[in-house]
Amino acid sequence: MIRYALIRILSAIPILLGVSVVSFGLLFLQPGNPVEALLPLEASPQIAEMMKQQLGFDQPVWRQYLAWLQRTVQGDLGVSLYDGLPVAGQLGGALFNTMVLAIPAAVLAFVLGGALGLIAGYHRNTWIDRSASALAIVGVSLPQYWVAIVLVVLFSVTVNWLPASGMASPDGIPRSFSDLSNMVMPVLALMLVPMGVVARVVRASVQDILSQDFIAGLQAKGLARGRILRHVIRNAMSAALSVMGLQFGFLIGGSILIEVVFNWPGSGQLLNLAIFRRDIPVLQGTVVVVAGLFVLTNLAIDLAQAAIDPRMRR
Amino acid sequence: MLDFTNQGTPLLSLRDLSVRFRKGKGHVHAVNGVDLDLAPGETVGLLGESGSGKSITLRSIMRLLPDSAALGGKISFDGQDVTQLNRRGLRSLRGAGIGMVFQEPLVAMDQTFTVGDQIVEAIRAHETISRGEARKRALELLELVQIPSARRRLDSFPQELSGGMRQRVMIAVALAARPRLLLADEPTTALDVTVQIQILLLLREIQREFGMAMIFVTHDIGVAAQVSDRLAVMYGGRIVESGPAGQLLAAPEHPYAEGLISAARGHRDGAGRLMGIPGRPPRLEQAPQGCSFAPRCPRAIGACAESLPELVATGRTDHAVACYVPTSRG
Repeated sequence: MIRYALIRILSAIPILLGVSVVSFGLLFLQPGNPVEALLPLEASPQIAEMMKQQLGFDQPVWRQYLAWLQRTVQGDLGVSLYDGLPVAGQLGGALFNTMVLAIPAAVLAFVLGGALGLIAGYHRNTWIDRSASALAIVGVSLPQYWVAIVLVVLFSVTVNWLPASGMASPDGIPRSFSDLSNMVMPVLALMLVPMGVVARVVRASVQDILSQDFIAGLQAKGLARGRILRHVIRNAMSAALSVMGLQFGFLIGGSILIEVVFNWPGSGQLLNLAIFRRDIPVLQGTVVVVAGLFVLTNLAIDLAQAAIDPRMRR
Repeated sequence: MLDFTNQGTPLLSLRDLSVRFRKGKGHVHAVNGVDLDLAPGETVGLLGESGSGKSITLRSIMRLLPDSAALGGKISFDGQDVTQLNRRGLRSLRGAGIGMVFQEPLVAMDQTFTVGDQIVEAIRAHETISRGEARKRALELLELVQIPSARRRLDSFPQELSGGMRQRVMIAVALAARPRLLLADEPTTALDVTVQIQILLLLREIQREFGMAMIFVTHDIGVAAQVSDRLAVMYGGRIVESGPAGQLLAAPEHPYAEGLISAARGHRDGAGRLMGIPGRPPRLEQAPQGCSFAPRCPRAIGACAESLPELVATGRTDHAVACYVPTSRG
């Protein structure tokens, strides 16, 4: 297990390097020279040349990359071209705000999705299975932004129970019931897709497990149903974990649509603003950090899977 | 009603057992009226080819059939009617009353749990003892089934063991709650010949030590002969002949049993060809009208296809055959 963990951790390094290359390459996707994009059209060539030297754009690309990688690894993501503030600070705050939504959404989605899938899998092809599966399909099929808007229309405009948008406390941490009420709708809108995806995977996996011969083996020992359920859950866990990892990764990235609809200052919102402002350092920093977190989440999931199911330790 | 046991009340008795599976719009008649008695401590070898209904018969004794199966007839174990048991009754029957050894231990065990945990939970399903106490017992069981360095093996996963070791673990699991009857479903089929013999000897030894009865399902006559006191030969979901092992093997009376035994001994016909049984096993989409073996039988007469021959005593000790024209009649 320790050997497997080490190999798995080491193999994440080339993936992270790949991520860094792609994030760095983003800079060169925009047409022309980055410096030209920064300066007004009428700026003199001398000023452009000076700026190029200052920002290091006169160096060969690989040297620019290494310098950028070194700074990034040290936590220096540069400064925003828009307001001159350090990217790391902005991104840290935004990621935190996103987590305030992502963690409850993930917990709710995984618990409800897992339970729905388990119930559906156990009652294969009955009305229970059909209703649970229908709920799961609705969850994955409804567009998030539409759900968000419908929620706002229902709960804010029509009955006025919940605030339509915004984050109540400035640091994102809910402290009172009214702070919490700001989170209800974005969390609901965010959890539907992961809930549906998890439910479907768990259902398929439970059905498969229940048809396997080891279930007869467990029954033959005279185990109680609750005890057999433990075996089913443990066996279904590894398939469930891999989709949970992916879904949690998506949630960390922050949903641009949900954060814009609810005016929530998270990483999705930051990314959105950076795109409109052509704020390359913010864009680069956000992409590399979010992608890196995505890789680390999946690494953690792989290790968890191996801990639960020894067959995964290849 | 035939009574094959001379020792009074049987431990297990099957009467007119039938199992039918829904399949598409029709049915598969897997078991069609099996009668069998088993005395305490006795071993019966259930012999037959694939699809003869022997494994299904075994699983129905523990009510381990899928939902698509319809069970008919009577199963009584230790005076209880197994077909009428509720969930709680079934739970104590399985494991504590009857233990089961499966053909493929790897498939029949949960590969995400250690060997020790799987034995411990089998013990604790029937006895309220502490985990530590149960673990001690699990270790004793592994030693009983002669697993080398048993203490270390407690924390192994099934897939880390060799085939023979896995089957030993499976036997330990089956013995965990000290059952009075052991059902063994082709427990040696998936093993190498040398390992097969070790497992057979182990089963025999443990059975004597525990005074357990055993039903041993196999398609291998040699294996059946080694472990069984009595043999029952199945064909098309019915027992066609049953009797003391030596007696039945030496002089089978049912034409199918005779064909099976001579094929296994490698008998040759006049031209020196290996003798087999011509034709195919019966299709089971319909309940049999006459003897299922009639279409392949060299001795069949008109009556064979018309009505089902009952299993009747032949006159030899404890011997019964379901045939209108048994070989003993010349």
